[in-house]
Amino acid sequence: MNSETYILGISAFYHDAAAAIIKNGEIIAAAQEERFTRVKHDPRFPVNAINYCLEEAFIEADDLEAVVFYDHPLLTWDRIVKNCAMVGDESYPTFNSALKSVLGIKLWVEQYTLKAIGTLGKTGKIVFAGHHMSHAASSFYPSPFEEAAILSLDGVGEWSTTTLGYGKGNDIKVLKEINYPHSLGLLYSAFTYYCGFKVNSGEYKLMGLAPYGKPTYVKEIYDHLIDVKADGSFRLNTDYFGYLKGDKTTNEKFHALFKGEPRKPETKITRKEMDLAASIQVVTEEIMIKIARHIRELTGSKNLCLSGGVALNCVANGKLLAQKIFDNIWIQPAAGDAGGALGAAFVAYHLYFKAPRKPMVGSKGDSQHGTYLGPAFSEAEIGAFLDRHNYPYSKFENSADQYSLLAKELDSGKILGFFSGRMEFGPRSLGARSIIGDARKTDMQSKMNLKIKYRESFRPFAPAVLAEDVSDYFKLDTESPYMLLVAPVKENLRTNVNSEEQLKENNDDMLGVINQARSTIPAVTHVDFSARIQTVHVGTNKRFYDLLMAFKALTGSSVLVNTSFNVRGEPIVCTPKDAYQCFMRTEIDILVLENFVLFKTLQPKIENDENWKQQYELD
Amino acid sequence: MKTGNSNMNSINAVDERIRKVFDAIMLEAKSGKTYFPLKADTTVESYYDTPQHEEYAYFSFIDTTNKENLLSDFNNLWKSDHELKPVAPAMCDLAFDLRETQGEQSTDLSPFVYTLY
Repeated sequence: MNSETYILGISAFYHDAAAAIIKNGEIIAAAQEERFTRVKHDPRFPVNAINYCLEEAFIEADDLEAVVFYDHPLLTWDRIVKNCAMVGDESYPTFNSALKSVLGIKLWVEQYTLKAIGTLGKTGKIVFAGHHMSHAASSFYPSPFEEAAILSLDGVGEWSTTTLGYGKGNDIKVLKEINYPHSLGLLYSAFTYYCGFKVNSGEYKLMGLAPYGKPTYVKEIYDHLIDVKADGSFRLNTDYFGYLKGDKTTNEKFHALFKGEPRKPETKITRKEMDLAASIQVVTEEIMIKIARHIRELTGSKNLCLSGGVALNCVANGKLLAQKIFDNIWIQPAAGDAGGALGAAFVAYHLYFKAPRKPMVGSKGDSQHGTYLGPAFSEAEIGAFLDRHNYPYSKFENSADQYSLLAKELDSGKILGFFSGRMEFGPRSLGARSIIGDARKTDMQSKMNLKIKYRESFRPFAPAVLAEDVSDYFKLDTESPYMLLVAPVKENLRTNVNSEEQLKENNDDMLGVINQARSTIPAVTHVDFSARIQTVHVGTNKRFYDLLMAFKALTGSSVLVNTSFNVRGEPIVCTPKDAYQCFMRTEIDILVLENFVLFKTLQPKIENDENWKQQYELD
Repeated sequence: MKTGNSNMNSINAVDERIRKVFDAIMLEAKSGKTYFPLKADTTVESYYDTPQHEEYAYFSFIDTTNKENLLSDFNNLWKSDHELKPVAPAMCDLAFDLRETQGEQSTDLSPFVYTLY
């Protein structure tokens, strides 16, 4: 191994293809392919993300020590073959398409890599990291912990759906696992589908819907769908699920249990969907807490690392934190498959090459660099882009002046598109590619939903708060830099609103109650007074931190609304061009591109862009 | 990698070969081997398994340089599943042939990307 060891990790072919590069165990860059191709959740081999990673590292592909893929296609194929053998003749259509997909495309990672960058690294062959090992590595190695229990929960990867492990120094050991078809992720996805949301992206909506409902179906779920042991291990009753046969996530028996066909997407959400969402959320939380207690006993560690798609359930994460089973919890911000690219690179470095782990650096000791791991654009690049198109702008040499102006505009109700520094890696916008507004404004939520995001949403927006002020607003005594923890708004900030009564008065129409002011920061207060919190730190995003400081100096409030810089169905913006397009297509008032500020009222109209909404499929 | 379109005859021929592989698996499956449990088991205290595929859990390699080497990987994968070994050569042949004929990757996302693809 060389003194400068670069390793490229790749995830692809399933959901959210991505690439990541590490140098001597330090993260250099990571990005999802969708940000470059502008296709949401793009699963294709991530040629653009790979090229970006190589550029960011200032290396040629020949300099790579190894290229690592985050999943083992033959082991996945083993599961598919055995699944079909168990199901019988009716699985043939699935077998046919799966064979073409796995043996015709996914098996040939080496060829795709060679076509993209002309080399397989100095190892001369692709290293295949285990799917759940990639998840585990993505949460342990960048964490601030020298040793930790490691829990990975997702739909399925190869055979595993849940793995319990332990990490110490540069080593990770898998201790226990639960295998397909028994999966907490697939159970949650079945309810996502049944409630009329898109599987693999609508899980977040189901989680957001849960607080409107009552967990009235918990008994049905435990009685019929899942058996959970005292140690949190579980088994599904596959009689109720369609995914073994491949036609649907649920089946007629599932529909009969809940007395009706699945809700059709985009139709009215009823009390039933609200209660189902609340019920599966409770079950998920209870199982996660039981597993956490078990892995605490199993490993004796006071630290927990979490990853896998289920770890994006920030409500469950918040409940887990509140149980105080562990002293410390660290969750990989790219917890889903995209983060597998990063984890795979770490697997090669620490487990294949057996390289030692470095002391932790960065925010609270983690080495994720605030997850600002994507492309940044220089003042010269942005200036050239704006000048080339003659877009009018103001350029600020003094950032204090800039933030003072922006704070005043926010205070007056204006909405900003905020583009600053390196793009986030993972599904959340954290102040690098964000839409920002004043959380105190009662109409901010509906304005952002209807005029910016173009959605009639029951979901609240997330608060970004100065890290040092978080406990002034929320019942949270730890950092949440990656927006992966949900905690309640403090009682003294709440207003006397009874959402349950309001729902009854509105015949269970959520949109009738969504815009009620439930606290002094209504735009970020959910119906149950919860909030999905991002703590903002000077060490990882100084510009966003300075904006919050300026807003606090002007208004006394250190909370802003932070939502992703995109419209519904669009990947989060990556370049100044993407940002300008989104700015002009929505009612965002002001675009901030680093130290450039653009006012909507001064911009020329974009010609022939009326049909842009057809560009993005609804998520 | 070739990405040209396949004509209808070659698609039918491939489908026939896939059908044969599938039928062979179904024939073996009739022996009644259970690959995974389908329901709860009241007799056990825990559903956790010890790692089932430890050889692949950390890192491993797949040798696709030629059919013989890929077949060796298949045989290693199914060293405890003797009933599946007879279909491995046909799968290797299909893999190499499909590599030449499969089209561009799709941007479509099936809700079953994890479970079945």
